[in-house]
Amino acid sequence: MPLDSQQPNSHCYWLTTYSELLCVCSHSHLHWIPFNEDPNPNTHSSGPSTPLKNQTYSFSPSKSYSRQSSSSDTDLSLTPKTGMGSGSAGKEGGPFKALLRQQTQSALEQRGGSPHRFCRNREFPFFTLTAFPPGFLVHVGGVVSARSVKLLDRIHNPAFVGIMGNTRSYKLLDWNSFNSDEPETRDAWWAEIRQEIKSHAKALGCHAVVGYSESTSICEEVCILSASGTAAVLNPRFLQDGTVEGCLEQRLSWQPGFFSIGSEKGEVDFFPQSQDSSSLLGQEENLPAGCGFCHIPYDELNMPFPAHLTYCYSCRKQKVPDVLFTTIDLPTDATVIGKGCLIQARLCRLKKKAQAEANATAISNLLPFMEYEVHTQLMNKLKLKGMNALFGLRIQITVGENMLMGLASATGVYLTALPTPGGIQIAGKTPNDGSYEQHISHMQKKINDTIAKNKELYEINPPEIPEEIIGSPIPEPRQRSRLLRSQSESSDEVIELDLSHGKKDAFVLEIDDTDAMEDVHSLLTDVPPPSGFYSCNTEIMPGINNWTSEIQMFTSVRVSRLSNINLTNQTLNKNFNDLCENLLKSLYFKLRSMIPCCLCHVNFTVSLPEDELIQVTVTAVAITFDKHQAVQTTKTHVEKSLQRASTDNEELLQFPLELCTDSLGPHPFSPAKEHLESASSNSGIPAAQRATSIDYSSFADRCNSWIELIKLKAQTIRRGSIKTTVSVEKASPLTEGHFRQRSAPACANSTVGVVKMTPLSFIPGAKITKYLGIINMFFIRETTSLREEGGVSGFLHAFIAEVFAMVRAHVAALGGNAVVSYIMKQCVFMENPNKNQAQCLINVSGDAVIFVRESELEIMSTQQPIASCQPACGGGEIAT
Amino acid sequence: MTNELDIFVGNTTLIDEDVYRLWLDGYSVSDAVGLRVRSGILEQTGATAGVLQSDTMDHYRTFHMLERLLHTPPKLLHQLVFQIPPSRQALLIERYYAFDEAFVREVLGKKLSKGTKKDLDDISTKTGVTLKSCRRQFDNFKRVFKVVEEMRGSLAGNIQQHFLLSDRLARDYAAVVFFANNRFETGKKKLQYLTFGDLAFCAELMIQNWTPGAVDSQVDDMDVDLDKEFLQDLKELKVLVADKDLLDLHKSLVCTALRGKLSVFPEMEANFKNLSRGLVNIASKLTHTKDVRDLFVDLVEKFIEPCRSDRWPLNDVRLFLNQYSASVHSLDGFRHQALWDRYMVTLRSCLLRMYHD
Repeated sequence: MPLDSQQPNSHCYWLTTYSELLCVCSHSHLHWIPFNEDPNPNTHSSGPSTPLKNQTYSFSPSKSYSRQSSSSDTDLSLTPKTGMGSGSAGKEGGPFKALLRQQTQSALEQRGGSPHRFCRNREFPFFTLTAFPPGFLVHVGGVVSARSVKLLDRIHNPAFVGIMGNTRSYKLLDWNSFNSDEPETRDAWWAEIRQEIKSHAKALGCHAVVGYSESTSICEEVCILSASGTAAVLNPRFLQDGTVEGCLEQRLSWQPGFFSIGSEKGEVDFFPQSQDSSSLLGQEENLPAGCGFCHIPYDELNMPFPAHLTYCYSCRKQKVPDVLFTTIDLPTDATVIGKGCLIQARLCRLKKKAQAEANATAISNLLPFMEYEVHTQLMNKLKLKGMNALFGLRIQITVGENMLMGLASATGVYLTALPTPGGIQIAGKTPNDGSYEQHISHMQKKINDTIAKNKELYEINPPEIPEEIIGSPIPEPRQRSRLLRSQSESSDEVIELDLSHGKKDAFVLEIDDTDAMEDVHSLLTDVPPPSGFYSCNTEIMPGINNWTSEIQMFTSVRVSRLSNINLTNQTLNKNFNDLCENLLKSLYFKLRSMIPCCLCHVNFTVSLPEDELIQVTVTAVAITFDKHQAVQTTKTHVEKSLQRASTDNEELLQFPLELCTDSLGPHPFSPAKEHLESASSNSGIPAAQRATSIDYSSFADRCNSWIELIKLKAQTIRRGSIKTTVSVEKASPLTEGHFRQRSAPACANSTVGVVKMTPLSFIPGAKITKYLGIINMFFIRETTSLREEGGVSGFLHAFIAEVFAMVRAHVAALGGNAVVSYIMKQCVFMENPNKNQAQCLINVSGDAVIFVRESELEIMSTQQPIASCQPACGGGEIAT
Repeated sequence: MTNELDIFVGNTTLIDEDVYRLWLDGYSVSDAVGLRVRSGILEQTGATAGVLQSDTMDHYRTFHMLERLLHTPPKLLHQLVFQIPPSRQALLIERYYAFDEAFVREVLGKKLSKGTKKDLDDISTKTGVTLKSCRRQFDNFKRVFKVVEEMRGSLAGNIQQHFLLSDRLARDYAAVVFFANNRFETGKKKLQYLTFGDLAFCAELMIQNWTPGAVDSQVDDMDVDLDKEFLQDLKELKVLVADKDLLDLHKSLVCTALRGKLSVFPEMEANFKNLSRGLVNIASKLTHTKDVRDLFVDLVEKFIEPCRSDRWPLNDVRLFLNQYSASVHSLDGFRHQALWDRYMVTLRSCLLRMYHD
């Protein structure tokens, strides 16, 4: 999974911050452990069985702390200097809020004003990961994002700061000033944005942000800083023992005892709902799989924005929103109906050329409208596809001299747990005009046809559920009125709440001007991919599980010149829309020989290198799949995806130890949990001592729980280091032998070994046996004979081909045979045809790996049936 | 809005066979797009003309970049820039080195020089093969020729090794090289009926039997030139027609053996001396370069045309030639049996192959 934390200004310390974050936030239930104070192991030796654990399950954050709509406001107004939380201390009730405040305050006392310290004490973990182990995500709140317009040459002076988020509420901040020198100022900018992201997440009742990414768009002196992520509630069990730093340590020294040490602090838990969470998990596991994350994390009586809630269509116990937007990949345990598809919203807005602050102001003024329109487009297109959730949402706003471009890409799916989306209704403004009416009804018919067609195309046929069971989706009149906050603390007595207006079918598009007309037209001009083709911008396509091994990664670049002198927003929009649509069509055409196939991880990047030039760069991978196996029941879908999840985890693991889990089946978490508990109950005994008195009968299980932990942490800090695996390899020589066996034929094949490249974190039909390290390469090329090299296209074509070749050669030199998580981070192209010159800068990165085909692996494992127990024995040897 | 730059680069280089063929055939991008549109691809795939244009451009650019590698095929295998599966590499090479029958007939036996290259315009108009394609094919011939010209070992083997061609194509190239080196005349009107296949067949036999390589596999130029000693020795065969007794004896042996077996027996009997004289004279004259060049003209004039004018069926020709060459072994006064066989075995097969309308 791509970790896009490498934006120029976004060097941040969060990989190192987790550890302290966990310590800092490790308030346990009703008593607070101050920062740096050693948690007393004895207090927690009883495991999660605190009095609260046994209370009946009813998950509602509002019970312990009332969510306050003002939180985001207060947080927003904070600059890094004042620190978070302090501004609103004591205003709201609830013991937990108080605890949180106490915690942050004590943290603030510790930090002594240094921005670095401040960052270390965050209470909200930011995960740039987009895929997680099953059960990790408890709830997903929705997309949170923040943008800020900055002037780069005004770093030493007061600059205009406009911050706004798109959690359906827009806010503008005051002028802010910084007097620090440049890097610190930029750090402060990002800190501010992260702060806002946090507050948005908090407003959604979430304590973490996953699928987080930051980006910048710079034109002359103006810079737009953007950050977005998905607010989420994470499963504390995955975070409770050890810390990331500790995990690093343990990888370096490989002490199995560490895990028990880790679980001594097993009770540390920084979640506001921690008293719920343990019981919650117990409950959650009994629920039908794959709907938990859809349930709203926020207080349904005090929602941060108007949303339409219904009872979950899967479990019918919890509330779910009508649509769900996220930046992460579809969780592996989620159940979907049919296939997903790539949904893009495209938007251009002209702006006057301006300088400095005037320019920044103009941009800031445009941004909220752009975000709104992008959002509306996404919503409309989602409805048009008959789907109800977006994954992998990435909104890119690009600033140019005289225009702003917005491109949002996401993968739409139909989540079983969410209600069926209503249609789109067109309403004209002048209903008296007969021909106009006719036109409207004609459009309406077209839209309805398109929806029906799309449902067929993407195989969306949800089962009919009688309304009595799920509760009335159509709100009764009394529920329409917004509830007062005072009511929110009332009780369990659930009052059906609906803040949207009218019934859910009435997603009304009002055609009141030409713009809206154009919008509707553009909705209908989006051509679906040809049959046999699917596309998504997530790692894999929801609803397709039977990938074959043929993959084709590609990069396509297009630069278009806007010929019109008198550009209007409409023509600009149309041009941009055509550019993207044609690009997609070209891709479908080019890859037609791979049908049936899916374009995965479609990643569009828009830049405006010059006044009238639009550059669109697309990188994606086409993966073929087996059509005949594609038709499966939902149940097998789930099983498959679970299996995929577990194999995925194994693939991602840098340790060869994963062989052990093969024997333990696809649900390693249930045994893991028990043994975590047993491990934590043992925690009084020193690690070494315990290691000698190991109960071998449960050893494999314990190993398993360790492995799960390593896996998780290896995923988190996978990019951190490579050298740490050495000791483990020595510990299990068999695996090394294995590896030699496998890699030998791959190298001997032909004169030039094939190196696969993929933006995904895995290779279909193969198992990654070894991670060889990160590849991060910058290339700059210049030509002074552009015409002779076949013009700009010839120049860039050859350059990109050579970049690929250099990456492959690098990987091959490391002994690898594939690059995963490949990403082209930069592709800056400039030309001066008059001088016959062009320059290009490219930055690519990825992970070099060794993979083995699963078919080869099977042969191997039948040859060595004892392989599965080997790592356990190996581990035992080290332990003693 | 115009696309200034439009590229697609795959980790595995995409090769579209149809576009490759169009490119090899020397069509311009716009012509190729036109041809593709006419092939009905737009209807099949639902693509637009713009998409097709962009796709064609992309492929053409790729092929252009691949072309310099294709000039030395082993480089294509060892280069790192384009990741192409081996089967596709083979296809690229094979198609690149494939040539048009019409074109090769025009060039076969000509000196592969700049002079000939200038005539490619005419060849292009005459054959209907685009000039670009003609140039590629001509350059291929020339390149192969230059590489294997002075090389030891089997000609076809060398070509296969250095150009990674299929067995069939390597043997065709061997024929082209052999013809070009010996400058056999093939362009005369009389010879127009011969296909490249006929000539390549003859060339292969000559390479097998008439070159120094046929007797010694360690000589330079072993397969490219004709064996000088052998040609010198062929003069000895002259006795077969110069000695009247021997000729009569030879004739009577053949006639006795074939009496009743040939439908054209009387014609054969009447023409025997002429035919025999023709075949033996061809052999004895091969010491002159000029006559070597005219070998195929002579074969047609001296043997094939007389037989054809008497309407010999192919089978009769076969019976006659078999008996004609076999009977020599019964001529006691003739001492060059081995030489005769080396000459006649090849010639017999060549003539049989060439004997058609």
